[in-house]
Amino acid sequence: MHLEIPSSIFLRGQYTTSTHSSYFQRTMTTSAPAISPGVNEFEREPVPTQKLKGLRSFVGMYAGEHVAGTEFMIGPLFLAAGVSAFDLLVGLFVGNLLAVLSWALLCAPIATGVRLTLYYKLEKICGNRLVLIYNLANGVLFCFLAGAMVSVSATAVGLPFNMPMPALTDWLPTSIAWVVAVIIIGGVFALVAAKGYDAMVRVANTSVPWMVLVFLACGFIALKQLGVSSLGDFWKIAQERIWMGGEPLPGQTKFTFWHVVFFAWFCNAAMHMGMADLSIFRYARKWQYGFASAAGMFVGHYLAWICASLLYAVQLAQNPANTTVAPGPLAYNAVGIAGLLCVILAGWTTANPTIYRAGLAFQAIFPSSSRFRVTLVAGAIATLGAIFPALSMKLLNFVGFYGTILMPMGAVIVVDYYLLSRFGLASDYAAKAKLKINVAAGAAWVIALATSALLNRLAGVQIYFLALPGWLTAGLLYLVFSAALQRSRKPIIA
Amino acid sequence: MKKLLQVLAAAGLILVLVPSLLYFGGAIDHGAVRTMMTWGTVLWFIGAIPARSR
Repeated sequence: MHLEIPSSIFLRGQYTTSTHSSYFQRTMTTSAPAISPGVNEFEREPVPTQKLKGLRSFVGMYAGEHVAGTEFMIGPLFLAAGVSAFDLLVGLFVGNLLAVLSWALLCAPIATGVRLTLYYKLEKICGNRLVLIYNLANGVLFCFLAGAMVSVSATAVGLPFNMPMPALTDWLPTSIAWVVAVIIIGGVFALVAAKGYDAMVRVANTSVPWMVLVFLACGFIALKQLGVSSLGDFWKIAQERIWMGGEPLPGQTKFTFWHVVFFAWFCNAAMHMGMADLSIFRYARKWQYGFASAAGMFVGHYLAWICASLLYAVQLAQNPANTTVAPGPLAYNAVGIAGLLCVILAGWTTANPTIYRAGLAFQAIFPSSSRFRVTLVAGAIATLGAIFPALSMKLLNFVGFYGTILMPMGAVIVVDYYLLSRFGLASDYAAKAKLKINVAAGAAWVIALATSALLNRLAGVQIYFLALPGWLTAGLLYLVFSAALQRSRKPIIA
Repeated sequence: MKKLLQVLAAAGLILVLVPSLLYFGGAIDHGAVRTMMTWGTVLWFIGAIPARSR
């Protein structure tokens, strides 16, 4: 999943000399204090032409950002969900393709059209109060995402100490050793994030090519151990011994082709159709650079997921009773110390910026608190979440939930950008009417979330499929509510 | 110096990937893969971190 590798991989040394302000730029609100005074990050103005960047920067950033600690969980969880070979391999291809198209055809054109951060654009549409609420949701979700990464790293750190790993069906912590490992790791991650982490960013930048190859090596080794000795054997063994379909493991939802497609499409929903990557693509010379996201999707969300899934298939083939999804032992058994280090670094390098981003989001809500303190609080929430294995064992559900919550605001931006003027309505209405909350946007978001909840509760629609109806509902309602709101008030020239 | 670091890093990456391909082809055993990948990892970070910091 997307997860969260430092955006500074893309930004550091290219857009700015400040790592911290790079994070600020991608994730932050408009009301938090600037972290690096004197460095112009264009937080409240369009990016000027001379600061635009070429395609290569975007390809590198996306390839790095989507090889994260959580990939080690998601791949095995597909297998635990009883997915078949065709459903996984083709479903992932289709879902990732749809995600790339969402970046390229929805997010990047708006980003290159307005060249503003998500947060400034949202503030202009929704008002600064509503952006604060969005930040709170974002911050809390970031904390739990980081928590999943902490728990991934804990499985690697605990391995040399023979720590018992949580089982697939465990929701509560299963041993004191697990709790201690998570608290130590979460504490270190939080402290490094709070103190600033230039060195960590350097390690993260350096790790990416190595990490991709470790994933690939894991895949080749697992294939051999599963009995594939030539590429010609692959499809037969894939169907009969790896992704056999059938019933999911206990506690897991059965995944079909459409589950895989929708999961792959919407696991980064907040970034593409949710428009968080406006902050990235505002630097793109052309909207077509949105296709650079393919590097992330097909390296991280295709190759890495499949390789991680193969590691779990080896474990199940060796001992069908061992259904524990513990990335540390999985990678160690395949490639030794390199695998263990890969799991720790994949978790660490991506949890750090995630905790940092959560801290920044909270700081916008409590501007008088120091960034150090709020980042520690964010790290503490992440650690608390990581103690409970449910967070990582139910990661597929959490990712669906994450997209469902944040994505509707992307629909508001799309409708504001493309449609309002065609209906004779003003875009960026909160800025033009000097509103702190644009009720049309706020109501569209809340009702879209309520609709998703009702679809889930009353119609039994699974969480993986809620993001799209939520997005469409929010867009439609924003158009209707904007018409009602703007026609009831003094007209504003669009 | 930078050239040397780049060579070390490249050798590290080769040692990370190639052993798994040799294992897949039946040329070496699993233990050798793990050892070679560990050395590849060491070489990569020795070469790449200073090279990328410059």
